[in-house]
Amino acid sequence: MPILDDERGVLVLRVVYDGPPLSGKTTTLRSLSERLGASVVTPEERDGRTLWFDWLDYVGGLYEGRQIRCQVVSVPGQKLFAERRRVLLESADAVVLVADTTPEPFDAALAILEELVPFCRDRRPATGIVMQANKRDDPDALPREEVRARLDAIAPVALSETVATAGTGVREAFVFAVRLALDRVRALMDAGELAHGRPEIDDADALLAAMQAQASLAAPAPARDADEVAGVGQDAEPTEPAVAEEHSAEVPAGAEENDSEEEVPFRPDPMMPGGFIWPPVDGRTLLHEVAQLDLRPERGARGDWSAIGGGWRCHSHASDIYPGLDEGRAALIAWARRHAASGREISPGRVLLLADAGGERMRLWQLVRIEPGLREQLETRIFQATARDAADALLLAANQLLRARFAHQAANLDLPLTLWAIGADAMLHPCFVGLMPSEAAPPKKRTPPDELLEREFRSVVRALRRDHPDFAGVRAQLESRSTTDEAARVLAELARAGDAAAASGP
Amino acid sequence: MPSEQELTAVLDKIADAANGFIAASLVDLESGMTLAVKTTRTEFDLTAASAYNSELVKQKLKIMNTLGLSGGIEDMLISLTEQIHLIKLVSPATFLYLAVDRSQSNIAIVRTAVNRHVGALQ
Repeated sequence: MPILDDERGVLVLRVVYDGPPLSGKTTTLRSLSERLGASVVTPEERDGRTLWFDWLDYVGGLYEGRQIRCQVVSVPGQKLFAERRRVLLESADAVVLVADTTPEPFDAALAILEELVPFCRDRRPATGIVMQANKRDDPDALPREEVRARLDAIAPVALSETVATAGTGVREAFVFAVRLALDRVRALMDAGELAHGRPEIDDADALLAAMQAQASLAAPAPARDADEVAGVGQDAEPTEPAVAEEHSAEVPAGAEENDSEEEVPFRPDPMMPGGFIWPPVDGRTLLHEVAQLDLRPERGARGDWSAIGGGWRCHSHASDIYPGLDEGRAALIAWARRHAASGREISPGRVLLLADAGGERMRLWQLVRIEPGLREQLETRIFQATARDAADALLLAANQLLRARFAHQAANLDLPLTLWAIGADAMLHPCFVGLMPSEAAPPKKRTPPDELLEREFRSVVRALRRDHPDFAGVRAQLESRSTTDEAARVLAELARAGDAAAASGP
Repeated sequence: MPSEQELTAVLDKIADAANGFIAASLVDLESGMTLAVKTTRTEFDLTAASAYNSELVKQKLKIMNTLGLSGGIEDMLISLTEQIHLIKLVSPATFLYLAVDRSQSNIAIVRTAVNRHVGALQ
């Protein structure tokens, strides 16, 4: 619904606050109004609960020389008013999902997020979502890491922590949402589809009148709907860098020539133009997060550029430089297709960027949120564990690695298969967490399962022999399962081979 | 990023250190929206000033890009007849905007006050 009001010289856009009942939407708007010096209009309330919406009108900021006029609207959270909520969400340029982060209410917020994500993505252009993790002062609030992990299991959504009653963080979440709304405006402008004129709905009264005019909305839904979900979607040692280098392409023959002209240093820039970021909306959301970290990539000995910090890795293979914009765009599209085709087999926190490298050259970058690989997970689990638990953890990791191998083969994906590069999500589904290999990297031969396990677990078993107080017990556990579990057989053989080597050693 | 209360506390410190302080804000570069504000003069429209200064920074970045200048903007200093305005880039996405009364301050004091505290805004 963004509209350029040329007469008044303003850009009008709408930020909608969504969330389960009693999550703090109205409190957030009231707190925001105090900070912005504006007032909240609530057409009708019953027992302190919003029946239609809360409305806040704020003029601030500037876009392309025009003032930004934000219509900030919160939805009624009660399930009874699901249709009213849907109508408001359909008009959103950005959505702030307010969530109570204590355990049970947070589950309810995640259920809404699961519906909201496909709904927002299906809109053209897609609508960005900010998760406002509210009530962070509650002693029962979940830790930030758990909140983040559970969000990531659904989608890469921006996260902002708040205490709406105290006003903490509400302005930051709002500004973040405005940025996402401007991304939508930019996409509409690029497509020549941004509407011009005076908005039909210019204040709370006009919005109320429009909603009431819809017969189905004029009265609350029948009581039987009260139990239905307020659905939206229904209706409508070796180190990982070394492993990454294994899959890097050789530096192209002309690289020395390219080196002679220094490259423009790359900084993640949230204002990169549309068409240079993939995925378009989620990517920009993540880019805003990474831009705050001020990462400064440096060139390594092999010519790759990389920087790590704040839970993110910024990387560009030596060969990912292109002589012009057209070649760079073609490479970005090819890589984006490859990412999209990888689906659930790769970790979700990923952004592809095409950036100016100087001298008309373009460089392709990947930003990847750092997730622990199976190797790191094993290191935290096996050394202090009982023999049985250590064996369980080893077998779980081995089978996840084999599942990843099978999935890569089935989807014809050529991704590194190592304990560092494969991790597991909250549902224990294995996924690739490493750096995407270069397009120019030569295809790798698929390693047979036994060889793969031997290669990846040899050093783990060696470390376990050295550091676990009951290595014999671990080995016995593996052997006891080796008749029914192929991975247990391979790991038991590795343990026995190590015993033999130790016995024949000096 | 620090909370709004923490950001405001930093602006308080800058206000104490910069003689003739009028107003300061931390501004989101892309949208021109303020993330934290402090002002001693009600007639000073800090919201509008912050928004229009975001356009100024963006235009300067465009100019640098057109000229092929590498590196980034450290700060921008504007001397008015009665005021000094300083824009200090805090991160790639945010900047500090500060206005002081020129008759009570000078460029060196303003820069020193800002540089002493700006790190806490990141």
